[in-house]
Amino acid sequence: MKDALDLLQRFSGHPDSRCWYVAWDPEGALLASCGGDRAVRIWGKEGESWVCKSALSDGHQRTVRKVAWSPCGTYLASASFDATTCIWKKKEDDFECLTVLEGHENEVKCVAWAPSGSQLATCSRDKSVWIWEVDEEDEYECVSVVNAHTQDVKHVVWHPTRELLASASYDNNVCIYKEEDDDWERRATLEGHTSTVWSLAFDPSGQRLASCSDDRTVKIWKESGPHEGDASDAWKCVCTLSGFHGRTIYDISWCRLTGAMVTACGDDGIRVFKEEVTSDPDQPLFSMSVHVAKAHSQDVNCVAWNPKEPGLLASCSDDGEIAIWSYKSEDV
Amino acid sequence: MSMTDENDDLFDSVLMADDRFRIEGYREGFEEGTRRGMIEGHNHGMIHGAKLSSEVSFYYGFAMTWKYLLQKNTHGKARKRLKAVEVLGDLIQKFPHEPQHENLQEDVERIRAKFRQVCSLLNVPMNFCDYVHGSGSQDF
Amino acid sequence: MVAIECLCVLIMSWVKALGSSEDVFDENADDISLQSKEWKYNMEKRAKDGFRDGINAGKEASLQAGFNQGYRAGALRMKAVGQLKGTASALQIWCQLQDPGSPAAASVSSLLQCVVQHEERIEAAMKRAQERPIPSVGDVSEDLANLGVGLTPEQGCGRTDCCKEDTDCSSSHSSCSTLLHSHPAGQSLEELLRWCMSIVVELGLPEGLLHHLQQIRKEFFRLCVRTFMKI
Repeated sequence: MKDALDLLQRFSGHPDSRCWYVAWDPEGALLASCGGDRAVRIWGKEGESWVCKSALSDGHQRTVRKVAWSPCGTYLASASFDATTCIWKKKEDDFECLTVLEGHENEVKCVAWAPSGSQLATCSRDKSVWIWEVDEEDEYECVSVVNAHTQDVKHVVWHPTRELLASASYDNNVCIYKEEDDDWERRATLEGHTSTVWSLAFDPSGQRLASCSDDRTVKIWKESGPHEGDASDAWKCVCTLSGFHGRTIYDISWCRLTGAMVTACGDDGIRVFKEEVTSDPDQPLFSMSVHVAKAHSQDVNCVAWNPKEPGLLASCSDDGEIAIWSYKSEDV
Repeated sequence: MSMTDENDDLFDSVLMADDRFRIEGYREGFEEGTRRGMIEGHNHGMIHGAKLSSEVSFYYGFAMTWKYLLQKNTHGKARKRLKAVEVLGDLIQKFPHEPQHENLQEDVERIRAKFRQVCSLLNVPMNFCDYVHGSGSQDF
Repeated sequence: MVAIECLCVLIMSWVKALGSSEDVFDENADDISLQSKEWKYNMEKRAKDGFRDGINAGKEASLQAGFNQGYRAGALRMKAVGQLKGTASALQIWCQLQDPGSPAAASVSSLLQCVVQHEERIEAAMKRAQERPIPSVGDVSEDLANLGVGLTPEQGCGRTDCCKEDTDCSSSHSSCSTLLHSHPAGQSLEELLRWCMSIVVELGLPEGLLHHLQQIRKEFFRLCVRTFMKI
């Protein structure tokens, strides 16, 4: 049996505008999407098809760039070009806006929830990364502001098990942050990409970090130095996937269940990569498993593996459409 | 020395007269240039030093004032704010106003970031921060 | 080198002699005068070239040192007014949170405005110094005077007297306390600091704030004394 990525459904997520991001809730039952129409939509499966369960259109005044579910699935955060991050709380079938996080000077590019559920990170074109804390009374407070990058910060992602944060930027670098004395600071700068780094993803165990870039490569990074007591940590690039992508790679997702990696590309294609089983952790080998050349009619902005159903994948594009796929591999 | 050697020396000396005028001129010019360079550099440096100091001193005055205003309260939230404000004050006290100090950019960014966090904790309206600084950061 | 000295003296005297329409050497008068003129021209040119190269080299060698010196001076100059601006801003926010419409809030806003203008005047003076052509040797250096800008009482609070034309201020003028009455038309930094202190007292704010303002004032005075600034 050959590896395959089959299209299950395609639908218009954000009419007449681009769809920027899709995110599965922790149960894998709902899909949140956001776009240039300033709305956030919640999709759920009814029978065999996906339908829109909720539309949150009053939260933002400009494009919504990313959405993120809290680990418990009760809250949804949306990051917008209007410089705010909205926190929504699920109330039965609907969502209400709980609070609006302000502080960034301009467009917020990403929001990510820490696995603990009590912290949130946002990043912005103002070059800063903000870490917020939420208490039992649903009150949010800014814990740290870090200016580690010299340009627009595109993405932030939390480590799956450790108190560690990573960010990607237009300045071609990836930064790693840790908490030190109640304050977050940059612990490492990962240099290597020759253009904007658009997205990041940790592998299921958290031992490695994948980054994707406008330079059309994917890099895999591994922490090589001592963890504690050092002024900075050492990370090295253990693998570079080049020659596979025709244009900018906008997003990358690493499946927690299968270990497969998927990329969203500006050449309208989706590619799935598998790791060779025998590969050395310090010199991993990846091969391209499936390539769907025309996954969408325009740039693919986001790809997301379903957290509960192995092989289930969602993607979205500049053409405003969302697609649901099923990945099958002989190894899975 | 023979007569011919003396004549040669004399001719050599005539040729070296060129150099002497040049060297004298250079020496005078160097003195004048040094004077001008000092003044020009001084005026230029003054503006740069003033700009950064104005920003950082502003943060300091802001932080110290809030430190005294918040000291009355001891309950949870105010304590966090007080701590943030104190950290900001400490960062600035350690900041040397030296033109070529090693981690200048990094230290300035750390101070700016802390200030923004303090503003967030104090619920300072966003337009306030912009009013004070225009675009905010200066790249050095 | 004695020979060359003699030669120079000789040539110089020829040159001088030529200036006084008397031929030094009758027979070869034209030849010599032409050669001397040419020689003089060449020597002057050498000196000028040397001078120009010297200026460029001297400037290059001293720019960084001058920059560093100016940087430190500029940084010190702005410290007090920057800190006062921060203090006034914090007080403004405090007042807005506590009692937005109060005369105290209005007074703090005026103070802040005046401090901002004071700072702008200093910046403008620095900019002017930079744009002005460099005075030649012998002119009194105006740097110290620049440092003193904004310190003399004649320097008002900008061109418009902010307290009398600002509508918020004047409307509360009649009803407010001694706060506004006591503040004068023009402000030096000393006066702005005193104004701020009186607001702190009036509002019954923590004494630590007064110490903080007094510390700013003390440091500023020390700077003035060190740099001979007019107070």
